[in-house]
Amino acid sequence: MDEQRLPSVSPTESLILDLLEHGERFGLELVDASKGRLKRGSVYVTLSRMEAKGFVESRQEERAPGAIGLPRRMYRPTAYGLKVRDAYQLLREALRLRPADAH
Amino acid sequence: MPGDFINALARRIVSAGTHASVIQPAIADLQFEARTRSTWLMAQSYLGAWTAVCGGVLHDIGITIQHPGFIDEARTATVLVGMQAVYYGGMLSLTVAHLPRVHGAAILRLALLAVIASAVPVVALMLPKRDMTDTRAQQPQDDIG
Repeated sequence: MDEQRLPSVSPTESLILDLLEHGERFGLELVDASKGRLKRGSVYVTLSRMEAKGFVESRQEERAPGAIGLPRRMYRPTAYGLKVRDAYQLLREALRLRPADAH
Repeated sequence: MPGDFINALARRIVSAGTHASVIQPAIADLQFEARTRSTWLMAQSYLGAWTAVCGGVLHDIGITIQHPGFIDEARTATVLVGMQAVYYGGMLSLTVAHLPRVHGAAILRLALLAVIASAVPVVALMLPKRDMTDTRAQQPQDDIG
């Protein structure tokens, strides 16, 4: 039987979606805003994986003519990413219930 | 510009997609922070860029392993290497049997040569292409409002 794989959101991906919820941000801004929970070296691997999953979208920043250096990349969440994150939060809360609390 | 060397090196060892999505943003951060002229920030950015290169290589390996055809290709490669190893091993045994005096170390060296001769062509032929794309978990998004 061809079973469709369910999407999954790791705690780091969930944190990134939380940080992006209120607008576009650069990778470095995410690292600064995470207060040490995201690392410079690994944030782009995580963002790339999230983009492949469809949780975030990215675009290159607009540069002034004559600007030097590579353009930075800005990230924003997709509606799908936020929906999967919300579903996972509900799931985590449900799994945290003890049998006595469920009644 | 700072980071040009890391960028050029990374372009040779990771796929184009990983380079664009993982390495380039890290290098862009490095070049952006070069304007601040803070030694501490630059050191952090260089460390971040090198870590991103390592992460990019691991990311590519992950994509390769999770590719739907990887198991089949690995199985085919194992069978091909095994068949060649048996052939070279047989030839080696016949050669050793007809030699008057052969040291154990020489046999070991020849056996190692046989393994390398078996594995290298197969691995070289079956290496993944560098322009591979991430095929993991593409979820349908049509019904998301």
